Amino acid sequence: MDSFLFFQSLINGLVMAMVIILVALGLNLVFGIMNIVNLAHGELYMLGAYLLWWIAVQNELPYFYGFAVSIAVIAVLGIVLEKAFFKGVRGETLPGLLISIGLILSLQTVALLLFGEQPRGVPAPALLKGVFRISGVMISKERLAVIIVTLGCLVLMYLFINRLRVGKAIQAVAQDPDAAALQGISINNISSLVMALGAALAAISGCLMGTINPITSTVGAQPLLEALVVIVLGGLGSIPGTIVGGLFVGLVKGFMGSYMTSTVASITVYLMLFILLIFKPSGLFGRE
Amino acid sequence: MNKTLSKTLLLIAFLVLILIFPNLGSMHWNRVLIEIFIWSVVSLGFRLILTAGQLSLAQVSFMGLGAYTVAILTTQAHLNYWICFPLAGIFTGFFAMIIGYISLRTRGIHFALATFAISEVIRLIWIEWKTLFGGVGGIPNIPSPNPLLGLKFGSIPSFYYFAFVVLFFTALVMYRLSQSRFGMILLTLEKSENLSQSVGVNTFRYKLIAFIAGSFFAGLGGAVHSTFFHYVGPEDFSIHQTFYVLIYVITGGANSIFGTLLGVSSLILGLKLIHHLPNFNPVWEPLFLGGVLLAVMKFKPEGVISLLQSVTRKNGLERKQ
Repeated sequence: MDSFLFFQSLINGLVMAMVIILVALGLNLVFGIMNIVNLAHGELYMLGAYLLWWIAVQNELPYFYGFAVSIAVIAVLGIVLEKAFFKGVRGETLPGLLISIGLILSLQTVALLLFGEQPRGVPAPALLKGVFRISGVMISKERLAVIIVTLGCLVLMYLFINRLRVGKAIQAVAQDPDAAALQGISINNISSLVMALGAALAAISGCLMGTINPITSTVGAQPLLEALVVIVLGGLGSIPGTIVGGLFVGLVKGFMGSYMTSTVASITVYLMLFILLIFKPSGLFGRE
Repeated sequence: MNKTLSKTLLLIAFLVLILIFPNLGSMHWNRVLIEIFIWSVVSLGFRLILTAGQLSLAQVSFMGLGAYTVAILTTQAHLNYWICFPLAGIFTGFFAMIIGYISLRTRGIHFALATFAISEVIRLIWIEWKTLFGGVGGIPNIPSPNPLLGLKFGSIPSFYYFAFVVLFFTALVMYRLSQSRFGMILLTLEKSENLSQSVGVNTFRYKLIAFIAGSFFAGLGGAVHSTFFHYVGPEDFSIHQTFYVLIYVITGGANSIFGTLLGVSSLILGLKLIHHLPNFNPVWEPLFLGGVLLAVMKFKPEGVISLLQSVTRKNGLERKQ
């Protein structure tokens, strides 16, 4: 029975880690390019989950259709937010922070008005129903899907950033925007692209969690704060750092959540953020 | 008539209007003004910390600390409110001293996010520790202030005067501070922390004092809030309310005490006015304030940005190339 709880915590922790990694990756990209900590990144996660619910449950369209449309719509929303609000304060961290606070308040209200005030849930599609057994350990297929999809996204992101020309342009802008601009890279286009990518990653994690946890308008705050821990822990702009940091935070949450309570787990993670920001501030600005 | 005299006369006329208001306005508007007084106290504290170049996202959580202090001491220890009221401020200031001592070594975005994290930690502790803080349900049935020197505070008009006195005292302290050597040093911190350091100012000490004082007033505001609504709960003091305070101060202009008071009053009045719109829904409130913030940032960011640059500005050596 004890080992059952152990594996259950391990699986839960891994699933949470995947969500945090996806959110952190997008947040990290946007920060790296625009020097803006977009606190409203969690709202993109929340809206992604709501859109999936609206399409797949409210309008009874196929789950995978909802998944794809949600990602596309949120990516476009990311571009719109960049063009309308973040463009003017690019490179200025605190004004960017204020704009993201305005967006948090506005987007949460929009979600409540569009999708209603009661919590929503998305049932898993037939393909992801049931459990998967490996030598006595059971794992539900929807949770397995979270892990597989996230790993897929990570591989794609890695290839995108390191193999494609445009990915290299993103790296160039992150290193030195002025030099990159001199080489003919459009900072405007790269910023929009990065916002779209970050928003899409947030929407993917939102959709994945939509079948596991209830969706409310404030559901985005938690992955956002956890993603901040990961970024400070794992270092800016580092994909391996994000993965290691995400696994650490996810497993801490998984184990503390089952051996104590999930609130105690959250308190621990936020205290970690507080301590890291003060004693390891290079995590957020440390680009040597 | 010279300018100072007319200014003084205007101020006196305004004070008289505020003082006779309970006899003119309805109960509803009396309550609205009390809310404005409470949030003004908290916002002035927020502004003081901002003048020292620090953006504290824990301001309303600290207000909650004051509110919970009063709630616990009056409902469980049955202490007299007039003992709890200063204790709420002192306890909050003490807590701020500990947090500030640890975290004021950072600045800019680090300090903002660190206080964000602390704000969530405080809220979750209120929710988790049910025996002391009442969990999600909070603490109801907080009594009205006890009679003091023959004055009773059970009715709305008398409470109005109490809340106004607290605000008047706060504004007076803020004004005196801004005129003092302390206020001058804070201004230099805002302009250039390095320069003040180089002429021998212990900037850490001044930032810490500003943080403690600003949080002390948040605690006092909370102490008034809890006894006015007779209830405290974790969601009354969440990060959203800190965002609101930030918006009041930024919109009104953080450069002056008057601007802050103007921002709080006009936006809270605005919030109360949208209540009268047809099909009003409470969820419009965050949209209204979020919209105001976005509009300020988009169309009139100069004032905000010049202030924020002082918050963002780091040591020359650290500055990103």
